[in-house]
Amino acid sequence: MKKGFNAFWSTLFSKDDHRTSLKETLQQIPIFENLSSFELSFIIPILHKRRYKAGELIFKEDEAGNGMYIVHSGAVQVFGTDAQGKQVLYAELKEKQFLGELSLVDGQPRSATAITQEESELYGFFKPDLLDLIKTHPAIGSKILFNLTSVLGVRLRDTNNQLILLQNKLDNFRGVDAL
Amino acid sequence: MRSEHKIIRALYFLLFGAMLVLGVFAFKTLFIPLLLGFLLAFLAAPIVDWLERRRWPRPAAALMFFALLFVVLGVLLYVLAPRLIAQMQYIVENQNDYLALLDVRIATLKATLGQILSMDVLDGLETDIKTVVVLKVANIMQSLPALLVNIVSWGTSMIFVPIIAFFFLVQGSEMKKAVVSLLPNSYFEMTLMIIHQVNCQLGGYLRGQALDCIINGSIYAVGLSLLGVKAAPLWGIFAGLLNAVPYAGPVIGALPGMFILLLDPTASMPWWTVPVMFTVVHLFDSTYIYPMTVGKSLDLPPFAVILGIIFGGSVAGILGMFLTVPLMGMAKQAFGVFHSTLKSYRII
Repeated sequence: MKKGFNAFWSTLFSKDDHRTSLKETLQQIPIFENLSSFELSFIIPILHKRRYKAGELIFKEDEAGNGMYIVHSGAVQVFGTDAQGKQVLYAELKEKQFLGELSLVDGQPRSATAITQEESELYGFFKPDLLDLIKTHPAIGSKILFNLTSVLGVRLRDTNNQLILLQNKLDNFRGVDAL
Repeated sequence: MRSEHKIIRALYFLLFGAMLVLGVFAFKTLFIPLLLGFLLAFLAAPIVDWLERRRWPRPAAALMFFALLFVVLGVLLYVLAPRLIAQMQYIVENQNDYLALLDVRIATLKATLGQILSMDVLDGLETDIKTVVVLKVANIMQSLPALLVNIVSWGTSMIFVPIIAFFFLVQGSEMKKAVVSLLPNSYFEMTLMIIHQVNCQLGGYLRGQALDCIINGSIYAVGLSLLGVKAAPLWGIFAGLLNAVPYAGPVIGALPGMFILLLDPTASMPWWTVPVMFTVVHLFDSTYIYPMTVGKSLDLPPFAVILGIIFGGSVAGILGMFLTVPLMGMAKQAFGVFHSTLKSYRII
Protein backbone atom coordinates (compact mmCIF):
# COMPACT_ATOMS: atom_id res chain seq x y z
CA MET A 1 0.00 0.00 0.00
CA LYS A 2 2.76 2.36 1.03
CA LYS A 3 4.74 1.47 -2.10
CA GLY A 4 1.76 2.38 -4.31
CA PHE A 5 1.33 5.67 -2.49
CA ASN A 6 5.01 6.59 -3.07
CA ALA A 7 4.81 5.61 -6.71
CA PHE A 8 1.82 7.94 -7.11
CA TRP A 9 3.68 10.88 -5.62
CA SER A 10 6.90 10.14 -7.49
CA THR A 11 4.96 10.19 -10.78
CA LEU A 12 3.25 13.43 -9.86
CA PHE A 13 6.50 15.18 -9.00
CA SER A 14 8.75 13.43 -11.52
CA LYS A 15 9.53 16.68 -13.38
CA ASP A 16 10.50 18.45 -10.17
CA ASP A 17 12.65 15.49 -9.16
CA HIS A 18 14.49 15.84 -12.43
CA ARG A 19 14.94 19.55 -11.87
CA THR A 20 16.24 18.92 -8.36
CA SER A 21 18.69 16.36 -9.68
CA LEU A 22 19.85 18.80 -12.38
CA LYS A 23 20.17 21.50 -9.73
CA GLU A 24 22.37 19.16 -7.70
CA THR A 25 24.52 18.52 -10.77
CA LEU A 26 24.83 22.25 -11.46
CA GLN A 27 25.81 22.97 -7.85
CA GLN A 28 28.78 20.61 -8.38
CA ILE A 29 29.97 22.54 -11.44
CA PRO A 30 32.51 25.26 -10.49
CA ILE A 31 30.97 27.68 -13.03
CA PHE A 32 27.65 27.62 -11.17
CA GLU A 33 28.99 27.28 -7.63
CA ASN A 34 27.80 29.90 -5.10
CA LEU A 35 24.63 30.43 -7.13
CA SER A 36 21.56 30.12 -4.94
CA SER A 37 18.75 27.71 -5.70
CA PHE A 38 16.66 30.70 -6.83
CA GLU A 39 19.45 31.89 -9.16
CA LEU A 40 19.85 28.39 -10.58
CA SER A 41 16.16 28.44 -11.48
CA PHE A 42 17.06 31.09 -14.10
CA ILE A 43 19.85 28.87 -15.47
CA ILE A 44 17.90 25.61 -15.87
CA PRO A 45 15.45 26.93 -18.51
CA ILE A 46 18.30 28.13 -20.73
CA LEU A 47 20.20 24.84 -20.71
CA HIS A 48 19.77 22.54 -23.71
CA LYS A 49 19.26 18.89 -22.87
CA ARG A 50 20.85 16.52 -25.44
CA ARG A 51 20.96 12.73 -25.51
CA TYR A 52 23.91 11.00 -27.20
CA LYS A 53 24.47 7.40 -28.18
CA ALA A 54 27.75 5.67 -27.28
CA GLY A 55 30.56 6.82 -29.58
CA GLU A 56 28.66 9.86 -30.85
CA LEU A 57 30.58 13.05 -31.63
CA ILE A 58 29.76 16.01 -29.38
CA PHE A 59 32.14 18.47 -31.01
CA LYS A 60 35.18 18.32 -33.22
CA GLU A 61 38.61 19.95 -32.94
CA ASP A 62 39.03 23.11 -35.08
CA GLU A 63 35.28 23.53 -35.59
CA ALA A 64 33.57 26.70 -34.41
CA GLY A 65 32.65 26.47 -30.71
CA ASN A 66 29.72 28.11 -29.06
CA GLY A 67 29.53 26.90 -25.46
CA MET A 68 30.11 24.26 -22.82
CA TYR A 69 28.54 20.91 -22.00
CA ILE A 70 27.75 19.46 -18.58
CA VAL A 71 27.75 15.67 -18.25
CA HIS A 72 24.54 14.78 -16.42
CA SER A 73 24.84 11.04 -16.99
CA GLY A 74 27.16 8.76 -18.96
CA ALA A 75 30.81 9.36 -19.87
CA VAL A 76 32.73 11.48 -22.38
CA GLN A 77 36.24 11.21 -23.79
CA VAL A 78 38.14 14.31 -24.85
CA PHE A 79 40.84 13.91 -27.52
CA GLY A 80 43.42 16.26 -28.94
CA THR A 81 45.97 16.05 -31.72
CA ASP A 82 49.69 16.01 -30.83
CA ALA A 83 52.57 17.52 -32.81
CA GLN A 84 52.82 14.36 -34.89
CA GLY A 85 49.14 14.56 -35.80
CA LYS A 86 48.21 11.58 -33.59
CA GLN A 87 45.01 11.56 -31.55
CA VAL A 88 45.80 11.76 -27.82
CA LEU A 89 43.31 11.17 -25.01
CA TYR A 90 43.21 14.31 -22.84
CA ALA A 91 40.50 13.40 -20.37
CA GLU A 92 37.66 11.07 -19.46
CA LEU A 93 34.73 12.86 -17.95
CA LYS A 94 31.97 11.36 -15.84
CA GLU A 95 28.74 12.86 -14.55
CA LYS A 96 28.86 16.26 -12.82
CA GLN A 97 31.90 17.23 -14.90
CA PHE A 98 32.01 19.70 -17.77
CA LEU A 99 33.83 20.42 -21.02
CA GLY A 100 34.19 23.10 -23.69
CA GLU A 101 33.98 26.05 -21.26
CA LEU A 102 36.66 27.99 -23.22
CA SER A 103 34.17 28.50 -26.05
CA LEU A 104 31.91 30.49 -23.75
CA VAL A 105 34.41 33.31 -23.85
CA ASP A 106 36.98 33.08 -26.62
CA GLY A 107 35.11 32.60 -29.91
CA GLN A 108 38.03 30.48 -31.19
CA PRO A 109 37.63 27.04 -32.81
CA ARG A 110 37.39 24.03 -30.47
CA SER A 111 40.78 22.93 -29.13
CA ALA A 112 39.75 19.27 -28.75
CA THR A 113 37.32 16.62 -29.94
CA ALA A 114 34.71 15.19 -27.57
CA ILE A 115 33.04 11.79 -28.05
CA THR A 116 30.65 9.95 -25.76
CA GLN A 117 31.99 6.74 -24.30
CA GLU A 118 28.55 5.36 -23.48
CA GLU A 119 24.95 6.51 -23.82
CA SER A 120 25.00 9.93 -22.19
CA GLU A 121 22.82 12.86 -21.29
CA LEU A 122 24.48 16.24 -21.55
CA TYR A 123 23.29 19.77 -20.91
CA GLY A 124 24.59 22.51 -23.19
CA PHE A 125 25.15 26.03 -21.91
CA PHE A 126 25.82 28.39 -24.78
CA LYS A 127 27.28 31.81 -25.33
CA PRO A 128 24.11 33.47 -26.77
CA ASP A 129 22.14 32.38 -23.68
CA LEU A 130 24.92 33.61 -21.37
CA LEU A 131 24.91 36.97 -23.18
CA ASP A 132 21.11 37.20 -22.82
CA LEU A 133 21.40 36.30 -19.14
CA ILE A 134 23.99 39.05 -18.63
CA LYS A 135 21.55 41.50 -20.25
CA THR A 136 18.47 40.49 -18.28
CA HIS A 137 19.98 39.28 -14.97
CA PRO A 138 23.38 41.00 -14.67
CA ALA A 139 23.96 39.85 -11.07
CA ILE A 140 23.68 36.15 -12.02
CA GLY A 141 25.66 36.75 -15.24
CA SER A 142 28.46 38.43 -13.27
CA LYS A 143 28.67 35.52 -10.83
CA ILE A 144 28.96 33.05 -13.72
CA LEU A 145 31.60 35.17 -15.48
CA PHE A 146 33.56 35.48 -12.20
CA ASN A 147 33.40 31.70 -11.69
CA LEU A 148 34.39 31.13 -15.29
CA THR A 149 37.39 33.42 -14.84
CA SER A 150 38.36 31.46 -11.71
CA VAL A 151 38.17 28.17 -13.63
CA LEU A 152 40.28 29.59 -16.45
CA GLY A 153 42.69 31.01 -13.85
CA VAL A 154 43.12 27.56 -12.29
CA ARG A 155 43.71 26.08 -15.75
CA LEU A 156 46.31 28.78 -16.46
CA ARG A 157 48.12 28.11 -13.18
CA ASP A 158 48.13 24.36 -13.94
CA THR A 159 49.53 25.02 -17.40
CA ASN A 160 52.21 27.32 -15.92
CA ASN A 161 53.14 24.67 -13.34
CA GLN A 162 53.38 22.04 -16.05
CA LEU A 163 55.51 24.37 -18.12
CA ILE A 164 57.84 24.99 -15.18
CA LEU A 165 58.08 21.22 -14.60
CA LEU A 166 58.87 20.66 -18.25
CA GLN A 167 61.45 23.49 -18.21
CA ASN A 168 63.10 21.96 -15.11
CA LYS A 169 63.15 18.55 -16.76
CA LEU A 170 64.66 20.07 -19.89
CA ASP A 171 67.29 21.95 -17.82
CA ASN A 172 68.15 18.73 -15.93
CA PHE A 173 68.35 16.84 -19.20
CA ARG A 174 70.65 19.52 -20.69
CA GLY A 175 72.78 19.42 -17.47
CA VAL A 176 73.15 15.65 -17.67
CA ASP A 177 73.93 15.92 -21.35
CA ALA A 178 76.67 18.57 -20.68
CA LEU A 179 78.32 16.33 -18.07
CA MET B 1 20.73 3.64 -38.94
CA ARG B 2 18.37 0.87 -40.02
CA SER B 3 16.58 1.47 -43.30
CA GLU B 4 13.05 1.27 -41.78
CA HIS B 5 14.13 3.97 -39.27
CA LYS B 6 15.21 6.14 -42.18
CA ILE B 7 11.80 5.68 -43.82
CA ILE B 8 9.99 6.51 -40.56
CA ARG B 9 12.20 9.60 -40.10
CA ALA B 10 11.56 10.70 -43.68
CA LEU B 11 7.81 10.18 -43.23
CA TYR B 12 7.88 12.10 -39.95
CA PHE B 13 9.60 15.11 -41.52
CA LEU B 14 7.31 14.87 -44.57
CA LEU B 15 4.28 14.93 -42.27
CA PHE B 16 5.76 17.82 -40.30
CA GLY B 17 6.41 19.76 -43.54
CA ALA B 18 2.90 19.04 -44.81
CA MET B 19 1.40 20.23 -41.51
CA LEU B 20 3.52 23.38 -41.71
CA VAL B 21 2.36 24.11 -45.29
CA LEU B 22 -1.26 23.40 -44.29
CA GLY B 23 -0.86 25.67 -41.28
CA VAL B 24 0.52 28.47 -43.46
CA PHE B 25 -2.46 28.15 -45.85
CA ALA B 26 -4.96 27.90 -43.01
CA PHE B 27 -3.54 30.94 -41.28
CA LYS B 28 -2.94 32.92 -44.45
CA THR B 29 -4.99 35.74 -43.01
CA LEU B 30 -2.72 35.78 -39.98
CA PHE B 31 0.50 35.85 -42.00
CA ILE B 32 0.85 39.66 -42.09
CA PRO B 33 -0.10 40.11 -38.38
CA LEU B 34 2.38 37.30 -37.55
CA LEU B 35 5.13 39.03 -39.51
CA LEU B 36 4.32 42.44 -38.01
CA GLY B 37 4.13 40.88 -34.52
CA PHE B 38 7.55 39.32 -35.05
CA LEU B 39 8.99 42.68 -36.18
CA LEU B 40 7.34 44.53 -33.27
CA ALA B 41 8.81 42.01 -30.82
CA PHE B 42 12.28 42.79 -32.26
CA LEU B 43 11.71 46.51 -31.73
CA ALA B 44 10.35 46.05 -28.21
CA ALA B 45 13.01 43.59 -27.00
CA PRO B 46 15.57 46.17 -25.70
CA ILE B 47 12.90 48.02 -23.67
CA VAL B 48 11.52 44.77 -22.23
CA ASP B 49 15.09 43.58 -21.45
CA TRP B 50 15.77 46.92 -19.75
CA LEU B 51 12.69 46.57 -17.54
CA GLU B 52 13.56 42.94 -16.78
CA ARG B 53 17.00 44.11 -15.67
CA ARG B 54 15.17 46.31 -13.18
CA ARG B 55 13.59 43.17 -11.70
CA TRP B 56 10.32 43.33 -13.61
CA PRO B 57 8.94 39.90 -14.48
CA ARG B 58 9.17 39.54 -18.27
CA PRO B 59 5.38 39.31 -18.91
CA ALA B 60 4.83 42.46 -16.81
CA ALA B 61 7.65 44.23 -18.69
CA ALA B 62 6.08 43.29 -22.04
CA LEU B 63 2.65 44.48 -20.83
CA MET B 64 4.17 47.78 -19.72
CA PHE B 65 5.75 48.25 -23.18
CA PHE B 66 2.38 47.72 -24.89
CA ALA B 67 0.64 50.03 -22.40
CA LEU B 68 3.18 52.76 -23.27
CA LEU B 69 2.82 52.04 -26.99
CA PHE B 70 -0.98 52.32 -26.82
CA VAL B 71 -0.72 55.58 -24.88
CA VAL B 72 1.65 57.06 -27.52
CA LEU B 73 -0.53 55.82 -30.42
CA GLY B 74 -3.68 57.04 -28.63
CA VAL B 75 -2.22 60.52 -28.14
CA LEU B 76 -1.10 60.62 -31.80
CA LEU B 77 -4.54 59.51 -32.94
CA TYR B 78 -6.22 62.02 -30.61
CA VAL B 79 -4.10 64.84 -32.00
CA LEU B 80 -4.05 63.83 -35.68
CA ALA B 81 -7.45 62.23 -36.33
CA PRO B 82 -9.56 65.43 -35.92
CA ARG B 83 -7.09 67.31 -38.13
CA LEU B 84 -7.25 64.60 -40.80
CA ILE B 85 -11.06 64.46 -40.72
CA ALA B 86 -11.25 68.29 -40.91
CA GLN B 87 -8.78 68.22 -43.80
CA MET B 88 -10.83 65.62 -45.71
CA GLN B 89 -14.07 67.54 -45.06
CA TYR B 90 -12.38 70.69 -46.31
CA ILE B 91 -11.24 68.91 -49.51
CA VAL B 92 -14.75 67.46 -50.13
CA GLU B 93 -16.51 70.79 -49.49
CA ASN B 94 -14.10 72.80 -51.62
CA GLN B 95 -13.50 70.37 -54.49
CA ASN B 96 -14.96 72.87 -57.00
CA ASP B 97 -12.53 75.54 -55.79
CA TYR B 98 -9.70 73.03 -56.19
CA LEU B 99 -10.77 72.26 -59.76
CA ALA B 100 -10.97 76.00 -60.48
CA LEU B 101 -7.48 76.41 -59.04
CA LEU B 102 -6.35 73.53 -61.23
CA ASP B 103 -7.56 75.60 -64.24
CA VAL B 104 -5.44 78.53 -63.07
CA ARG B 105 -2.40 76.32 -62.52
CA ILE B 106 -2.80 74.71 -65.95
CA ALA B 107 -3.19 78.16 -67.56
CA THR B 108 0.07 79.28 -65.91
CA LEU B 109 1.76 76.07 -67.06
CA LYS B 110 0.42 76.60 -70.60
CA ALA B 111 1.74 80.12 -70.67
CA THR B 112 5.17 78.86 -69.68
CA LEU B 113 5.17 75.85 -72.02
CA GLY B 114 3.52 77.81 -74.89
CA GLN B 115 6.96 79.11 -75.83
CA ILE B 116 8.18 75.52 -76.42
CA LEU B 117 5.12 73.42 -77.48
CA SER B 118 2.31 74.10 -80.01
CA MET B 119 -1.13 75.16 -78.71
CA ASP B 120 -2.82 72.00 -80.13
CA VAL B 121 -0.57 69.77 -78.04
CA LEU B 122 -1.15 71.91 -74.92
CA ASP B 123 -4.96 71.91 -75.41
CA GLY B 124 -4.92 68.11 -75.68
CA LEU B 125 -2.74 67.91 -72.56
CA GLU B 126 -5.12 70.20 -70.63
CA THR B 127 -8.14 68.03 -71.51
CA ASP B 128 -6.20 64.90 -70.51
CA ILE B 129 -5.14 66.33 -67.13
CA LYS B 130 -8.66 67.58 -66.33
CA THR B 131 -10.24 64.26 -67.31
CA VAL B 132 -7.77 62.32 -65.20
CA VAL B 133 -8.17 64.59 -62.16
CA VAL B 134 -12.00 64.67 -62.34
CA LEU B 135 -12.09 60.88 -62.81
CA LYS B 136 -9.66 60.32 -59.94
CA VAL B 137 -11.59 62.61 -57.59
CA ALA B 138 -14.83 60.84 -58.52
CA ASN B 139 -13.15 57.45 -58.02
CA ILE B 140 -11.79 58.42 -54.62
CA MET B 141 -15.19 59.72 -53.48
CA GLN B 142 -16.92 56.54 -54.69
CA SER B 143 -14.36 54.23 -53.13
CA LEU B 144 -14.29 56.00 -49.73
CA PRO B 145 -16.90 53.68 -48.09
CA ALA B 146 -15.08 50.58 -49.38
CA LEU B 147 -11.78 52.06 -48.17
CA LEU B 148 -13.29 52.60 -44.71
CA VAL B 149 -14.51 48.97 -44.64
CA ASN B 150 -11.00 47.84 -45.67
CA ILE B 151 -9.43 49.95 -42.94
CA VAL B 152 -11.81 48.46 -40.36
CA SER B 153 -11.08 44.86 -41.46
CA TRP B 154 -7.36 45.64 -41.60
CA GLY B 155 -7.60 47.14 -38.12
CA THR B 156 -9.34 43.99 -36.86
CA SER B 157 -6.53 41.74 -38.05
CA MET B 158 -4.03 44.28 -36.65
CA ILE B 159 -5.44 43.61 -33.15
CA PHE B 160 -3.51 40.33 -33.31
CA VAL B 161 -0.17 42.11 -33.87
CA PRO B 162 0.45 43.18 -30.24
CA ILE B 163 -0.86 39.80 -28.97
CA ILE B 164 1.56 37.92 -31.24
CA ALA B 165 4.40 40.30 -30.34
CA PHE B 166 3.63 39.74 -26.63
CA PHE B 167 3.99 35.97 -27.04
CA PHE B 168 7.20 36.33 -29.06
CA LEU B 169 8.60 38.60 -26.33
CA VAL B 170 7.61 36.44 -23.39
CA GLN B 171 7.93 32.94 -24.86
CA GLY B 172 10.53 33.65 -27.58
CA SER B 173 13.38 31.81 -25.87
CA GLU B 174 11.16 28.76 -25.15
CA MET B 175 10.03 28.72 -28.79
CA LYS B 176 13.67 28.88 -29.94
CA LYS B 177 14.61 26.08 -27.51
CA ALA B 178 11.72 23.93 -28.70
CA VAL B 179 12.73 24.36 -32.37
CA VAL B 180 16.40 23.64 -31.62
CA SER B 181 15.50 20.55 -29.56
CA LEU B 182 14.06 18.96 -32.72
CA LEU B 183 17.41 19.14 -34.52
CA PRO B 184 20.00 16.34 -34.58
CA ASN B 185 22.99 16.63 -32.20
CA SER B 186 25.43 17.41 -35.02
CA TYR B 187 23.55 20.53 -36.15
CA PHE B 188 21.91 22.03 -33.08
CA GLU B 189 24.91 24.02 -31.80
CA MET B 190 25.50 25.54 -35.23
CA THR B 191 21.78 26.38 -35.54
CA LEU B 192 21.82 28.10 -32.15
CA MET B 193 24.72 30.24 -33.32
CA ILE B 194 22.93 31.12 -36.57
CA ILE B 195 19.73 32.06 -34.70
CA HIS B 196 21.70 34.21 -32.26
CA GLN B 197 23.66 36.06 -34.96
CA VAL B 198 20.58 36.55 -37.16
CA ASN B 199 18.77 37.88 -34.06
CA CYS B 200 21.55 40.36 -33.35
CA GLN B 201 21.87 41.51 -36.98
CA LEU B 202 18.14 41.76 -37.61
CA GLY B 203 17.45 43.39 -34.26
CA GLY B 204 20.12 46.00 -34.91
CA TYR B 205 18.91 46.59 -38.47
CA LEU B 206 15.21 46.86 -37.55
CA ARG B 207 15.75 49.09 -34.53
CA GLY B 208 18.12 51.29 -36.56
CA GLN B 209 15.61 51.46 -39.39
CA ALA B 210 12.78 52.35 -36.97
CA LEU B 211 14.89 55.10 -35.36
CA ASP B 212 15.81 56.40 -38.82
CA CYS B 213 12.09 56.51 -39.77
CA ILE B 214 11.18 58.36 -36.54
CA ILE B 215 13.96 60.96 -36.96
CA ASN B 216 13.19 61.51 -40.66
CA GLY B 217 9.43 61.58 -40.02
CA SER B 218 9.91 64.29 -37.38
CA ILE B 219 12.16 66.37 -39.69
CA TYR B 220 9.69 66.00 -42.60
CA ALA B 221 6.79 66.98 -40.30
CA VAL B 222 8.62 70.12 -39.12
CA GLY B 223 9.69 70.95 -42.71
CA LEU B 224 6.17 70.51 -44.11
CA SER B 225 4.72 72.63 -41.26
CA LEU B 226 7.21 75.41 -42.05
CA LEU B 227 6.17 75.25 -45.72
CA GLY B 228 2.52 75.64 -44.64
CA VAL B 229 1.30 72.19 -45.75
CA LYS B 230 -2.03 71.28 -44.13
CA ALA B 231 -1.96 68.24 -41.74
CA ALA B 232 1.87 68.35 -41.90
CA PRO B 233 2.47 65.92 -38.95
CA LEU B 234 0.40 63.25 -40.71
CA TRP B 235 2.28 63.61 -44.01
CA GLY B 236 5.54 63.75 -42.03
CA ILE B 237 4.76 60.37 -40.40
CA PHE B 238 3.73 59.00 -43.82
CA ALA B 239 7.03 60.16 -45.39
CA GLY B 240 9.00 58.89 -42.38
CA LEU B 241 7.50 55.40 -42.72
CA LEU B 242 8.15 55.37 -46.46
CA ASN B 243 11.76 56.31 -45.77
CA ALA B 244 12.37 52.60 -45.05
CA VAL B 245 11.89 51.96 -48.78
CA PRO B 246 15.06 53.03 -50.59
CA TYR B 247 14.90 55.17 -53.77
CA ALA B 248 11.11 55.16 -54.22
CA GLY B 249 10.22 55.91 -50.57
CA PRO B 250 11.29 59.58 -50.31
CA VAL B 251 9.83 60.30 -53.80
CA ILE B 252 6.38 58.88 -52.89
CA GLY B 253 6.62 60.51 -49.45
CA ALA B 254 7.01 63.96 -51.03
CA LEU B 255 3.96 63.65 -53.35
CA PRO B 256 1.11 64.47 -50.89
CA GLY B 257 2.80 67.64 -49.63
CA MET B 258 3.58 68.70 -53.20
CA PHE B 259 -0.04 68.24 -54.38
CA ILE B 260 -1.46 69.97 -51.28
CA LEU B 261 0.68 73.07 -51.96
CA LEU B 262 -0.18 72.89 -55.67
CA LEU B 263 -3.93 72.82 -55.03
CA ASP B 264 -4.24 74.84 -51.81
CA PRO B 265 -5.48 78.37 -52.65
CA THR B 266 -4.24 79.65 -49.29
CA ALA B 267 -0.71 78.22 -49.71
CA SER B 268 2.03 80.80 -49.38
CA MET B 269 4.88 78.65 -50.69
CA PRO B 270 5.23 77.27 -54.25
CA TRP B 271 4.82 73.45 -54.74
CA TRP B 272 8.45 72.89 -55.73
CA THR B 273 9.68 73.80 -52.22
CA VAL B 274 8.46 70.35 -51.03
CA PRO B 275 10.73 68.27 -53.33
CA VAL B 276 13.61 70.67 -52.57
CA MET B 277 13.05 70.18 -48.82
CA PHE B 278 12.80 66.38 -49.27
CA THR B 279 16.03 66.31 -51.31
CA VAL B 280 17.91 68.28 -48.63
CA VAL B 281 16.55 66.07 -45.81
CA HIS B 282 17.31 62.90 -47.79
CA LEU B 283 20.91 64.04 -48.40
CA PHE B 284 21.29 64.84 -44.70
CA ASP B 285 19.82 61.41 -43.86
CA SER B 286 22.15 59.53 -46.22
CA THR B 287 25.21 61.41 -44.98
CA TYR B 288 24.62 61.63 -41.21
CA ILE B 289 21.45 59.96 -39.84
CA TYR B 290 21.37 56.60 -41.70
CA PRO B 291 25.07 55.76 -41.06
CA MET B 292 24.52 56.47 -37.33
CA THR B 293 21.22 54.59 -36.93
CA VAL B 294 21.35 51.66 -39.35
CA GLY B 295 25.11 51.73 -39.94
CA LYS B 296 26.19 49.54 -42.81
CA SER B 297 24.15 50.22 -45.89
CA LEU B 298 21.89 47.52 -47.26
CA ASP B 299 23.60 47.76 -50.62
CA LEU B 300 20.58 46.39 -52.46
CA PRO B 301 20.84 47.12 -56.19
CA PRO B 302 18.16 49.62 -57.40
CA PHE B 303 16.82 47.05 -59.89
CA ALA B 304 16.29 44.48 -57.08
CA VAL B 305 14.52 47.14 -55.00
CA ILE B 306 12.12 48.01 -57.84
CA LEU B 307 11.42 44.32 -58.55
CA GLY B 308 10.88 43.76 -54.81
CA ILE B 309 8.39 46.65 -54.59
CA ILE B 310 6.44 45.34 -57.63
CA PHE B 311 6.44 41.80 -56.18
CA GLY B 312 5.39 43.02 -52.70
CA GLY B 313 2.62 45.12 -54.21
CA SER B 314 1.25 42.18 -56.21
CA VAL B 315 1.32 39.85 -53.17
CA ALA B 316 0.07 42.10 -50.34
CA GLY B 317 -0.85 45.49 -51.79
CA ILE B 318 0.48 48.72 -50.27
CA LEU B 319 1.61 46.95 -47.08
CA GLY B 320 3.51 44.45 -49.24
CA MET B 321 5.22 47.28 -51.14
CA PHE B 322 6.23 48.83 -47.83
CA LEU B 323 7.44 45.60 -46.18
CA THR B 324 9.24 43.92 -49.09
CA VAL B 325 12.42 46.03 -49.11
CA PRO B 326 13.05 45.81 -45.34
CA LEU B 327 12.35 42.06 -45.63
CA MET B 328 14.84 41.82 -48.49
CA GLY B 329 17.33 43.61 -46.24
CA MET B 330 16.63 41.13 -43.45
CA ALA B 331 17.01 38.19 -45.83
CA LYS B 332 20.34 39.58 -47.05
CA GLN B 333 21.61 39.97 -43.47
CA ALA B 334 20.39 36.47 -42.54
CA PHE B 335 22.00 34.92 -45.60
CA GLY B 336 25.32 36.63 -44.76
CA VAL B 337 25.27 35.17 -41.23
CA PHE B 338 24.18 31.75 -42.49
CA HIS B 339 27.01 31.68 -45.04
CA SER B 340 29.73 32.72 -42.57
CA THR B 341 28.52 30.28 -39.86
CA LEU B 342 28.39 27.34 -42.26
CA LYS B 343 31.93 28.27 -43.32
CA SER B 344 33.14 28.38 -39.69
CA TYR B 345 31.67 24.89 -39.16
CA ARG B 346 33.43 23.77 -42.35
CA ILE B 347 30.15 22.67 -43.93
CA ILE B 348 30.69 24.77 -47.07
